[in-house]
Amino acid sequence: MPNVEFFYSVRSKEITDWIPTYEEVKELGYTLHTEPVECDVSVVLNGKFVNPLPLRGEKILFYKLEDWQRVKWKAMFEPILEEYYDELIDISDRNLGELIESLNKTNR
Amino acid sequence: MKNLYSDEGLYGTLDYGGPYPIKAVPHCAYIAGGLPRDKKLLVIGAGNGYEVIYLLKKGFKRTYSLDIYAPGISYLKGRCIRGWAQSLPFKDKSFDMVICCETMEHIPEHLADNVLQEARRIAKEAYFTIAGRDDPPFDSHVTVKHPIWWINKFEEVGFRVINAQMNPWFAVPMMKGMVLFRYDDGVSIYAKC
Repeated sequence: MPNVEFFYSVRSKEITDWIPTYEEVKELGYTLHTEPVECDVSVVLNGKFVNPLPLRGEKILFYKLEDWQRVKWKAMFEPILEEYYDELIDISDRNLGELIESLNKTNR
Repeated sequence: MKNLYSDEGLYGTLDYGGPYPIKAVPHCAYIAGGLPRDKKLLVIGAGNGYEVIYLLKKGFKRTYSLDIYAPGISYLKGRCIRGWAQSLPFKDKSFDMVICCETMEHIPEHLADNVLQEARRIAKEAYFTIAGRDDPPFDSHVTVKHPIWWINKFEEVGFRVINAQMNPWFAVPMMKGMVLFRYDDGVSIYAKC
């Protein structure tokens, strides 16, 4: 089973719509890191402020957007972030527990 | 002294150098919207390289960058030159445009003239955005000045300032029309060299 770790930026505390997600990940038994740590899979929650370069292992970005934000994201940021992350996952309509379980089961 | 802008400095942390969406990339999108794709561009102070990747993917194949930090991104291989903005290793007027977003405020005030003179020497046009606030907790903005100070500085070194805006809103072409961004942190300056 790969060692999956979660990351977020302390600067993103101001983005309140992510707070329930942070809490859910903690309730699932994971620690939210604000500094790079060794792991097989690095999952970034809300990568608006997170520098992807120091992350270890496979890099995955969880993102969620309002409909009006998707145009910006698809046209501008997705093509850029594809070069920094191995996978970009929209968690808007996903069950977080099942998604994280699938990351843990995958042979990475 | 440890270099702030290195893998061991700010760029080695998770909190510095993220793709904050209203910063440099939308400015590049704004500029790119009106530029022919064959223009030769230099991004000064490219940092993690988000702007360079954007411009390359938008078809600006002659895009290069210079920074004292060069990210290890395979897509940027051969595009990022490590060097100092006050001593650019390029011939006179060898670029059509210099793009320098969110960089001048990181350069000590006593070097600002040199950096602007070098940008003017190697390019025909220039687009700068310069933050006007401190950036706690990093404290990496060492030259925080009023927009008027910057505009006067550009004129002093010989630029012809065509347009300068404080905290501008700007419209960027997107897939389904135009999208507005607001740069609420300083000044944007477009100038002829």
